[in-house]
Amino acid sequence: MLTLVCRVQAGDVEAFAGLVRAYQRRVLSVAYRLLGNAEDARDVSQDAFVRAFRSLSQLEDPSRFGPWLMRVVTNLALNFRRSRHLRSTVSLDDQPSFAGGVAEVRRRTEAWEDETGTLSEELHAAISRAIDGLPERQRLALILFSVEGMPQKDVAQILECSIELVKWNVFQARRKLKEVLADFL
Amino acid sequence: MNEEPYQADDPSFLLSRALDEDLTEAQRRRLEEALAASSSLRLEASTLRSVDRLLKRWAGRRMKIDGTAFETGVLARVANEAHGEALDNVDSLLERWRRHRPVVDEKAFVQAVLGQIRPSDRAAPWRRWVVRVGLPLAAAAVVAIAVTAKIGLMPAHAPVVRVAIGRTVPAPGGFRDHEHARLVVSFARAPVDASPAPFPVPGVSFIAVGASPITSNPKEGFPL
Repeated sequence: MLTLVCRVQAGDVEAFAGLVRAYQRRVLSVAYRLLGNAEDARDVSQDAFVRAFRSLSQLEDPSRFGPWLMRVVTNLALNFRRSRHLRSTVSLDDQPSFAGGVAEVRRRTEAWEDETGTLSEELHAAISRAIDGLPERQRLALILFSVEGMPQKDVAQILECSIELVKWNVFQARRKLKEVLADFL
Repeated sequence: MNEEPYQADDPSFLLSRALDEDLTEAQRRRLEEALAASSSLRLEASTLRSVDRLLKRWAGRRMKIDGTAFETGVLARVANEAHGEALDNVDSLLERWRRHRPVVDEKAFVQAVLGQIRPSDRAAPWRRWVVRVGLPLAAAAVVAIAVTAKIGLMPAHAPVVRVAIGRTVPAPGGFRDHEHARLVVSFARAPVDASPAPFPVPGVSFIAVGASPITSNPKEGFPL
């Protein structure tokens, strides 16, 4: 991986394909967790890779490419989420109706695959809403550390805080989820 | 939503870290003592474990990924970026090449050029005007007049403009004595009066006449 990064920094565009292959699943997963929408996650993830390609020369330590890339996708996803929130609050008339019916449900369900297969739609939606309602730093810490399993050191770099604060934010997030999901526990 | 300030010794915080197996030996012992002493803390520990399990089940639902399509899309955009960057580099190289101009002593250059020009090569300005403007105009006028006369395009009552410069003989109901010139516009093919001056083909012409009258018909003219 280090070799690939160095080759891309030296101008080898072909080597970037190897980096895309290696990180696309993680990047897409993080974007999906943060945005809750597969299409948005794909768009943001593509933007993240392109942005990374453009800015790779600024990465001083090639061994930190992974966390650096996660930081890029996280920031892009947060910006996208904020702008999406602004668009939805500006025009209520533009809210999509559920006119798609069955087709719409099928489209949404085809966007994901369930490895556990045991969570009901209602519970899954409730957990999604609860996570969505968390403060930004708590949500990020929970998703990046508890859900995606990223090392605390990398999460601390993305959140630009100490490792202890990462742990504290994870704890705060869990406590809030406990209150919101009390009916399901 | 207000976030609580960091409290490293909060027993609930230690519970959360225990879920992540992130406790030192000393911290783990302290937590076990606290759990043994508090039923509410034990309840909270159980609840936090349930939340963690729910979260892991929620995380089991992953986005479907078509790796090939995604990779292709990214690489296409990256290739465009690289191509654009390469073009930018070429553009900047060309710009730098364009700005590179040889140093020239302009004064010496002008002197050298002028020195090569022979005086006889430089025609008088009026000659140049005659050659470039006057002759072509005159030729065009001759051709136009000849063609229109030849094919009889002149209308039957083309105006004839005659300018007479000189004193005129007062005519009945005519003109004032202090006149020095008279402009006559007639629409007849042939002139009305019998002026000794030759009259041109209908069209526009200028005739300078001395003391001779042009016409005695006041209707044909008008005072200036």
